[in-house]
Amino acid sequence: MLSMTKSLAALAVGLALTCTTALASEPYFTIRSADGAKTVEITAEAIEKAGSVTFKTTLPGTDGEELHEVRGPLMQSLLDQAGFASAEYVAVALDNYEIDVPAEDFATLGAIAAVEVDGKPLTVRDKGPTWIVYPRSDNAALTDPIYESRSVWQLKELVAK
Amino acid sequence: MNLLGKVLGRLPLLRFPIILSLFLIMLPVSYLSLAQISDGINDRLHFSARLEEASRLELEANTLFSKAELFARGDPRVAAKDVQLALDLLWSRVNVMGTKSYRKVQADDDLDEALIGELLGAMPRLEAAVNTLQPGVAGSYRGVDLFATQYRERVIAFSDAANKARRQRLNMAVQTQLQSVTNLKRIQIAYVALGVIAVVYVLVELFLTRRLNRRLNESIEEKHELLCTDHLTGIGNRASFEDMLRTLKAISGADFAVIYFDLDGFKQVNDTLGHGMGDMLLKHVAAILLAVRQSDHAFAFRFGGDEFAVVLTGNRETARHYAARAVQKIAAPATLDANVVQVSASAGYSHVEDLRSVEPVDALMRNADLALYAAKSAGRNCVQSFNAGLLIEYERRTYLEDALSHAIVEGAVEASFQPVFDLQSRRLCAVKVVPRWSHNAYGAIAPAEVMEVADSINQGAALLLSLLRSTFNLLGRLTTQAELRIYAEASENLFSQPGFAQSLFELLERHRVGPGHLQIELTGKRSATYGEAFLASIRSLRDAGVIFATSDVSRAIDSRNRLANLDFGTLKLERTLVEEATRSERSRGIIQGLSAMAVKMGAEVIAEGVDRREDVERLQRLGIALGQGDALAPAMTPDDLLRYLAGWAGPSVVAFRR
Repeated sequence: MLSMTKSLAALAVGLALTCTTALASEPYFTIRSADGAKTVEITAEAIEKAGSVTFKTTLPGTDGEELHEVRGPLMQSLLDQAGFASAEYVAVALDNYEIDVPAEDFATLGAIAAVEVDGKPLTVRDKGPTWIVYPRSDNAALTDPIYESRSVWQLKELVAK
Repeated sequence: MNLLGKVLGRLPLLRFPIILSLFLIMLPVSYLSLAQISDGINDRLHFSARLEEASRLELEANTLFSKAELFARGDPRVAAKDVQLALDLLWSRVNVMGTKSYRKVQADDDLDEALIGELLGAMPRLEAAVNTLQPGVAGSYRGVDLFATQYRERVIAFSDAANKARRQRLNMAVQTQLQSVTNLKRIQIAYVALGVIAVVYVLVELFLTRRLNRRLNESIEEKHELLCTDHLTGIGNRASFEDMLRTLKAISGADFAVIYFDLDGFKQVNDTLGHGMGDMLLKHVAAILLAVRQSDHAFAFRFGGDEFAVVLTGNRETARHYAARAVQKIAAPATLDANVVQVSASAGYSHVEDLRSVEPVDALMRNADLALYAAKSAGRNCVQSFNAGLLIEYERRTYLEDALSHAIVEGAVEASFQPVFDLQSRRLCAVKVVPRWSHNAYGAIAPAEVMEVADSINQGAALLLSLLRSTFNLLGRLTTQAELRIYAEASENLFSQPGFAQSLFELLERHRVGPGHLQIELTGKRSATYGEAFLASIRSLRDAGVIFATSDVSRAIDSRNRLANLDFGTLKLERTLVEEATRSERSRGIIQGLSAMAVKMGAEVIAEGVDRREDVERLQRLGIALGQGDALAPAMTPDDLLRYLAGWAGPSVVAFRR
């Protein structure tokens, strides 16, 4: 009985563990103000609502120069939707990597919150579930290392300064 | 030394190229330096980010191992998904570490490259181990623990190496940064220096250009002054005079006058005492003109020769006073280089008020000239003001001069005849021909004036020949002309003109005018010397039988006549003398004397202006041979003359008009 319970539990854990993509209720990432007064969770619905763009680009942290088709809402759309209009943000990754990103990257450079690469939803293992991607194949200036460092994968949090 | 001199000599030309090449050199140098600095910054970002990530491998591995262990021990703080997330993060990290650019960084900094490859291969095993974890079952940790044991040391070493490499890179970055700052400072200093050089260059160029301009202006001024100065006397010349008039003209309401001076007798000084003395005299006159200058502004100029001008401000009276003083001073004998020289001057002036409203200031020059001319006509050594009469006369004269040439050619100047009688025999013996010209605007012009105007425009010969041609043509129609002589007047200078004597000679030939039938009275100014051309003309005409006459006693008795074989066959008594004879015993005496002189010279005497009957008788009594005037016969047109002559039965019939 105990062993059955244990095995059931193991199954449950296994099920739980295999279900690595975020649950419907699980947010992709959160946007909050630095003082914590406002926090908005970016859920699947929010992403759906913001609409998505698709473009082909090379990706940092990958091998080779091959193009990948990335899809996801414009960061700017998400910010507008969530009601943030800061001049600068701090992007925080799951591994606690942090970097300052000026708002104009979102407003003018077309950075997206990629949730799909080559038609597959991103997982944590392949830099998901959300990856800030710049359309650097369209704009040579975006291959500068500074934009590579701002191409935050495993985005956890965007803090409006 | 020589080469240096050459280079220095060319320095002005090399300035700009040198500055330009400095800039041209500086641009690529600074561009390359800046590119290097920027590359350094990019490199740092590249390495720093990758090494930092590499160093996190240890943390993420340990997080997974400890969370797995806690989970296995049943720690309530750790859920299955936390373990799974830690696994995902580690896996993601290993994946990233496995990419080319990361492997290159690892290789560059001597990290354990093989580790990442092994880990990539081992990840599925780790995942399987994680999946066997059971909460509260410590033994379920074994799989993960085995993995941890296998790789922990190497992962720690890998992360430490990455950290160390990162620190080294940071240190190097600081060094590079310092170097970059130094380089930037150098570039900055170079640019500042270049900027200073450029500014200095521009200033030097400006300075040089200004200096050059100033010199240029100075030399232009100098030249101008030189051009505007009369070299001999140091006073202004004609150009500066005109400049002065333009200046005054520009000042509306300026009150000023122009005075022209002309020396009388300068030529004689020049001719007799030499040019040196002439020059001294001119300087002397210039000095007087400057000295007369009083409180008013007066500027003296020399136009060349012995012509001077003064422009002075002030009213008409000031001008008159100045001119009178100057004329007076010039007339005083001057001791020049031990010679006492005495000349006089004529002056004419015109004040700006004389200008009619439409006239330009330049008209003052003409006015002053007219006044000067009037002063000379009035006997020199005097001052004459401009007046409207002078201008009217001048305009009339100019008009006549313009019209006369055409009038002669077109035959508008006709011959007019005055019969001449032998007062003793009372025979008609000659006709005097004079020009008759009626002008539309000015009416009948006096014959004397027509001849004078013709002379002044060099048409005297044409006029005379034209008159004689008409006369000969007219008389050619008569059968009884043998005894009739033709009298005409000609200015003495005509005989010096080339071709005149020849033309006259040919005319006489063509009309078969025999010797003694043409008498020409010499009029006008007597020349100082008889030129070769004059003597030749006189000789050839005298040989052709032309008789010469004069009313000028001094001309008649001129000793040079002997040399020229110039005999005067007739002495003319002027109209004024004839008129005076009526009431003046003295005049009658003069007539008698002249008559006696003429007899001694073998010349006839003819009286002009015999207009009253008593004149005829008086002249007869005085023994005068010939007469001409209204009391004898009036002036006639060609037609009148023909009719008049037709009334004579023959040349021997003599009758007086009653």
